[in-house]
Amino acid sequence: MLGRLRDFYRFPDLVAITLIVPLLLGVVLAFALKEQGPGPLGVVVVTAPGEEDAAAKVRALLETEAGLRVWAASPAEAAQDMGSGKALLAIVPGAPPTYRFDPTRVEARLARELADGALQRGSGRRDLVSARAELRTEPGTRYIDFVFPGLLGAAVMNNALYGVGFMLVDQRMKKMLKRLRGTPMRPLDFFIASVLFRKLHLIPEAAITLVGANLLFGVPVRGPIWLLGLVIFMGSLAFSGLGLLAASRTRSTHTASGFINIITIPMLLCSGVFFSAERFPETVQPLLKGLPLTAMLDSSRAVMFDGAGFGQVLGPLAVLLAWSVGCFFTALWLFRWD
Amino acid sequence: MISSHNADPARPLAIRCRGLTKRYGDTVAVNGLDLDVFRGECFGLLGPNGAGKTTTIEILEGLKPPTAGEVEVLGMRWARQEYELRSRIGLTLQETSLTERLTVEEILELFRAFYGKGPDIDTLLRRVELTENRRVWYEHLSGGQKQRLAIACSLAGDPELLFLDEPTSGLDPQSRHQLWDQILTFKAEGRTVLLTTHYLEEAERLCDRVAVVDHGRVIAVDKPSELTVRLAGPVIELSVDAALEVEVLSQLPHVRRVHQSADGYAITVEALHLAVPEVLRLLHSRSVALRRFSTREGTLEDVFVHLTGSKLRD
Repeated sequence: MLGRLRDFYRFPDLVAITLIVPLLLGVVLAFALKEQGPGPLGVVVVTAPGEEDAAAKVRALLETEAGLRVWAASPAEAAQDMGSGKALLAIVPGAPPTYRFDPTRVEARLARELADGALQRGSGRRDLVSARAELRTEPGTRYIDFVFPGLLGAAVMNNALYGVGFMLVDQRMKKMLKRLRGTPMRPLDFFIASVLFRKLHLIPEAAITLVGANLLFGVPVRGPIWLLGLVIFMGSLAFSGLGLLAASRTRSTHTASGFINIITIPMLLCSGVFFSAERFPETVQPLLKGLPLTAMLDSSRAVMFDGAGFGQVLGPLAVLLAWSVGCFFTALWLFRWD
Repeated sequence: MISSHNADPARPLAIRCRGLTKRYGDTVAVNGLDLDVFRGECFGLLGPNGAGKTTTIEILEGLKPPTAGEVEVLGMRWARQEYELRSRIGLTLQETSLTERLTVEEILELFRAFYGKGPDIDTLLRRVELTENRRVWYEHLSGGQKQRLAIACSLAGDPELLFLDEPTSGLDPQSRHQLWDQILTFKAEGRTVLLTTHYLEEAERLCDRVAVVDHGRVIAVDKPSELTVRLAGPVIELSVDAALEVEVLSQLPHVRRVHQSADGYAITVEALHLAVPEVLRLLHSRSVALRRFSTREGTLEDVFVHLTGSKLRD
């Protein structure tokens, strides 16, 4: 066990990757997504020859709305702007005016609402209720807060699967496992060592990522830190179990990579790394809740942002424990040294 | 066919196997192989590549299950006493790579940790003359040093029985001699050694007895010297200035067999002092003049060619 840990640290590049990648990803995403929100929405006023006056009037009304960026264009150019996505909405002046937009795009619908409001007010409509806006940009509610635990979880998942699964297959290919089989070491001891070794550098890995997120973006941890540690540990354990399972009989590292991708890609998409898993239909929710990455992300977000205690994350922790134990013993049963 | 049952009831056996068979689909790698290895001897499995040596040794090491047959190692069976057996044997594989970025010392510590008893790291390092390289990474060792480290790993549990699969394959002559000395030391310590090799010199130098293996069967077992005397005998090599019939040479007294090659004849005989006069008398009676005439002792190579009809190394 100690031997393998030493081996790991002999590859400084590998250390750098496992520690820095989640942080780097966070930085990139933060710059891409953090403060912007959706920018001004593009609206094109379709100007047919001879209709320039009507178009200019509509355009003047629309420009009173700060959320819109408005320009005029010939019908052909307007069609092009819509096609390229530069314009989300095309308005053909007239009585009544026509709105052209793609209703499946939320931004296009927003552009329509804003444009319609501006035209209605410009034509004399009076708003009866003046609502007060409360802008939520404090830590714990921003997108960066949502995505950071997701990235941390994805990194833990990849490290555990590659660290345990891929390395095992690599050792099998080099006949190292065959040589180890020639010793009195039992498969169970070997499994425990392979999994625990991974957990040792999980501690600095997760700590650096969390501290970095806190210092750079103010991502908070409101619940008990030990509980977050437990959640991360249990998540890593479950993924190590999956890694063992993927590697239990696999003879080539190519096949192992394939297995690992089959495991990770659906979870990256469905478990709520980049957007909430609750967006998926109600019927598949129980299935998603049963995935180890969903369980890990739900519970780490609950601890970090809602200040959840042990009792509140018991369910997801049980899911993680079930995956760990189930995979570990199935892998042990399937395992071949060569 | 020469019997391979050299069972001597007075000597305890380290390895006993009967009817050992290993099939991979339609391919038969080991075909009903019988073997008795006594405790304390160095025993060699000699044969060309593909003869089934590695499959045999890996079955004996408990790394592969046989398709059929019985195997007893140190009086135990793999199916029932696997871990007890593992702690009492040591082995090297034909090819293994160990962890690239561990030092010699760390690898030995790892292997030492697998066994309840055994020599300390310094002793192991001294045994294989790697003391000066103890802090060198595995990936920076030479081929000979890696092989010596593999041997040191096999000694980590102070084994009674040592399996070495092609221990000197691919090594330079100096490293090979160094390893031979070490293997001779194991034997002197009373350990049993089973090795596979396709080097005749290695079998002759190290082994008390060898089994000649071909097509997954043992075709002869004996001391190397006995095998050569019994099955090869000394050889007269000559070339002459006229044609001689192989049949005529073969029928001379004390001649075992005659092999004709491009530059002359190789005549295997029972004893030189009896056969040489007969050969010279024949040449004289035919008025044939000698161009070249020499004699040599028989080798395991001759035994092998005789038994299998093919050379050991093609």
